[in-house]
Amino acid sequence: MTSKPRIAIAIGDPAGIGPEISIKASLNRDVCDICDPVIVGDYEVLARYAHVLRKPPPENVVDVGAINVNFLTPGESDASCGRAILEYAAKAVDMAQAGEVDAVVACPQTQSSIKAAGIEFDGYPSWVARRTGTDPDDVFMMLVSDRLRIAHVTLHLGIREALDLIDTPRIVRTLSAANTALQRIGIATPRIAVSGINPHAGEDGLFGSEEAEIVMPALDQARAAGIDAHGPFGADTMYLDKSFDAYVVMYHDQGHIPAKLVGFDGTAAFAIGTPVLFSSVAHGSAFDIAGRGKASAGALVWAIKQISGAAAAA
Amino acid sequence: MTDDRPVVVTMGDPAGIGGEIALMAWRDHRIALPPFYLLDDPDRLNRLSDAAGIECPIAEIDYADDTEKMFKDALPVMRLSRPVHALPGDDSTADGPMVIEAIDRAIDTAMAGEAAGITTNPIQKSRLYDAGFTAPGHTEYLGERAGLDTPPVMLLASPNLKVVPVTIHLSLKDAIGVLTTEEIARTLEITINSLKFDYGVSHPRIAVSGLNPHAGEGGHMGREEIDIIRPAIDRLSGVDAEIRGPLAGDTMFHEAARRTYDVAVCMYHDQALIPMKTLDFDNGVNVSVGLPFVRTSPDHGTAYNIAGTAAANPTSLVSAIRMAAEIAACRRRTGNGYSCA
Repeated sequence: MTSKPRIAIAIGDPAGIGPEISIKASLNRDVCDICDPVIVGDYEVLARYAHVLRKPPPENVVDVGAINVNFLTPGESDASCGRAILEYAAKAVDMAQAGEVDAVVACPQTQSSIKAAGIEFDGYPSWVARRTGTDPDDVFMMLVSDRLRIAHVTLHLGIREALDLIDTPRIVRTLSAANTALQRIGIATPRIAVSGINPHAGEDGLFGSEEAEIVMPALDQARAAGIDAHGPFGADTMYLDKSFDAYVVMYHDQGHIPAKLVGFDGTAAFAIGTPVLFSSVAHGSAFDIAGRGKASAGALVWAIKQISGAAAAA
Repeated sequence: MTDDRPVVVTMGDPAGIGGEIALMAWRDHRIALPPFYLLDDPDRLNRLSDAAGIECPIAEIDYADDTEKMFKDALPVMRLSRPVHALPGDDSTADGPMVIEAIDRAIDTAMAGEAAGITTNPIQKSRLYDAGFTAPGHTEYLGERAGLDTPPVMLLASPNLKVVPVTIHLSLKDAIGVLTTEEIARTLEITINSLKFDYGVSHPRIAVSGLNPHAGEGGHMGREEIDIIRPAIDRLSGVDAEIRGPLAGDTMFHEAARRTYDVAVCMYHDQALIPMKTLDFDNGVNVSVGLPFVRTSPDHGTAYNIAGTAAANPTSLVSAIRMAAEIAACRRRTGNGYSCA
């Protein structure tokens, strides 16, 4: 790698803390040392938030022109903000596909505003899949903190629906996406732990047969494909074994509970399984403090660092 | 005010680590522990301490009352009716009757008020079937023996967190199936009473988790929060306690959030156990709540694979013995609320 990777920062909800943390992160010394950040958003919106931060308007901006700043009130997200969120992200993803940037980090979105704009949306990962022409069933979310990387077989589904969706091919696809993503961030042969579905991974069939019927065959298939996969392990004790490069879990809370306990302020959410290196920031729009210049850019800086490392290693 | 009665510790599965962690608990922690005695075979414990190199003199006692005067110089042990032969890691079921006898005698002692409480060492229930053990687990067995109609509630306690799973050792699918407003309300009520009488919290603060991600997000990701959990919380609105929820499982265990409640009531095993083990693997104690006597146990299994090597960590047993004595003392202070002792 001769030059620094170029990282697109999509500003997310313009009424949230996204624009101000984008500005802060793009001025952060660590960020500038490891990458060339490009902010993808609305110039006028960014200029307004820069004023609050007592900074000059940022220069490294790709102006999407998605929203009229005169109708924008920080903290009050609406349908026009919802539409803008995806216009920024779309521009950034398109730039990545065209090779103009090496990776994308997206600031917090607001699902209700996107829905208010009449757009079908259930989180960045599946949206990135559609944008890049990838089958949404091949795209998964991997939380990346300094201590844990956790890929989720299912994510934002009610637990009954999640249980219905989990099958052997889906677990294999998650393992394969995680394996590829880990190789992209420079781990040649990742060691991956896989959780069970049931308590204690079913304790030899005592509490459920899904481990034997669904998870073990997936592990066999993944191993046959050359993936160094281990398990299934009880999710409560699995994380105590630190020898794994990543953990694959079956549903949302199995992965999000430990991730938020050990890396609450520094967690990136990678969309894995797509051709584009894409990460969102693992916190919300924080409308209560938006526009006051108080928001911490820590999680965004963390995500940029993670994905820059990934882009550099690719 | 303290409780001068001893804590009675059961043998547990003799092929597991129970014996050696009890020896280590006495050897390393006796100064800081309330007096306790073991229901076991003293001869096997002598053999174990020699073989594993754990220096711990054994004193055979006939009455629980003798514990205190012996405890300073030796680990008091009350002899079971038959010798115990299992070696570490054995898969024999021959000692099953003695494993059960230890539990039964501990219950009788506690019910008679002669012990402050019971701390049980881990068992492997599949090895007790031959001896006539039919309960789904240790805790349920204690509930049956105490004459309860419904099983006790499991509370896991560490210095950082207390959690109560509403459902425990069931497949996730079965756990979802048995979650009802009644069961959640019953668990909440027992938990609140335990905090008041066992832990001396006069106005307990309870955080209740949702079942689905983000607690269902207003019904977008499952309706159990609206249909089942919320009504259970509402049912307890007249109780002197602060109950909040249903809360998102992934954010309710963050440090700032933990400061706002005394106990988290969770819907299923992993939701409760992941935060527990992530925050504090060694110090977790399992407390059976809703029994007429005090019962704690270490939060780990028989660990056959390391039994007999003195590699096991006695920390959880030590915490469990200490917590049994603390709860007993607290019950005396708070006027108990339970029917015995």
